[in-house]
Amino acid sequence: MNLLPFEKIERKIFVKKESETNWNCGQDPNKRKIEELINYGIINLNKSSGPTSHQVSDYVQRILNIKHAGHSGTLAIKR
Amino acid sequence: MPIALERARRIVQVLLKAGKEYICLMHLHENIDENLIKKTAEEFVGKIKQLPPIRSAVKRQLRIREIYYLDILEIQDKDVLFKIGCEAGFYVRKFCHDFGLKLKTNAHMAELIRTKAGPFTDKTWHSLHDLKDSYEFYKKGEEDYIREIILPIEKAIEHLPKIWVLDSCVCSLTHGADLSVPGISKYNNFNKDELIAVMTLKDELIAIGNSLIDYEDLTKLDYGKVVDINKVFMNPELYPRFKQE
Repeated sequence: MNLLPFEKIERKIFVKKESETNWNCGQDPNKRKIEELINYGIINLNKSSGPTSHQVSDYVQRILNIKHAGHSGTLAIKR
Repeated sequence: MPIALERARRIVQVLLKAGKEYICLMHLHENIDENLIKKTAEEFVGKIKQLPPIRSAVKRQLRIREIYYLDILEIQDKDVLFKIGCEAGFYVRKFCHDFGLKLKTNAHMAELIRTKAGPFTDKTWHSLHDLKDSYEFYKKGEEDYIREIILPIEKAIEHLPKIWVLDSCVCSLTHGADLSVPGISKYNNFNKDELIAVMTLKDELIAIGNSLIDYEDLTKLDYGKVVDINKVFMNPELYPRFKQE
């Protein structure tokens, strides 16, 4: 099994101070409204080999009607 | 390829620094013995020196980058298909070139797919068409599909060690304060000078920053700075300002 370094680390949880959280403020991230996700979310996109990363970001902006979408690095410069 | 939307955009900086995995088709310019190719691949695993390609976004100077694993999946004549796990900032195109030189021939990269970028893998990716369809469904009132595709920003820090803080400390963190021991509720194991995700007890991302101590130190301490916050993501109005009682 091939794993990247972070995938091999076992993350344990230690308690410093037990505490309750107040559910009147903040929210479970999995319950965010779609509008909030579109404004504050991330998409794991399968980029087809044709368009560049920049063009794909542009398509995403147009589909979702938003102003900004950032990608994490170009895959390959087409020669 | 992870795409971060609007207010989440700055999180891509975390992903840029994360380990990657690629599947690459390399084309050799001569027929080379299979065993020699496999043996050479094994020799490349570990820390290697790499000069970024001429057309690259960084300064061209030798850099040390680690190859975590390298599996030759298939060899057909001059075509070699391999899977590579590597450190951030590793150039696979350049690697193919260097691989060719090591075999005393030439080689170039023919195809490249990224199969892991930090916590994002090819197992859970979606196409632009899926995104478009899901958005149309969402506009008609059906949101299950788009929820599978647009993930909370917290997905992008899944690979980082986390520290969960008390509600009373959230507001000051969103205003850029550093994290100290008294504000901490729970924590993962982490090293000194590691990138840490600072979370609420509801598992919301507040900010990221660098650890000033390791988790064993934290266990022993009652006060002092733990994380030097460098990027705040949470909106400051969500949690109330702490009031002294």
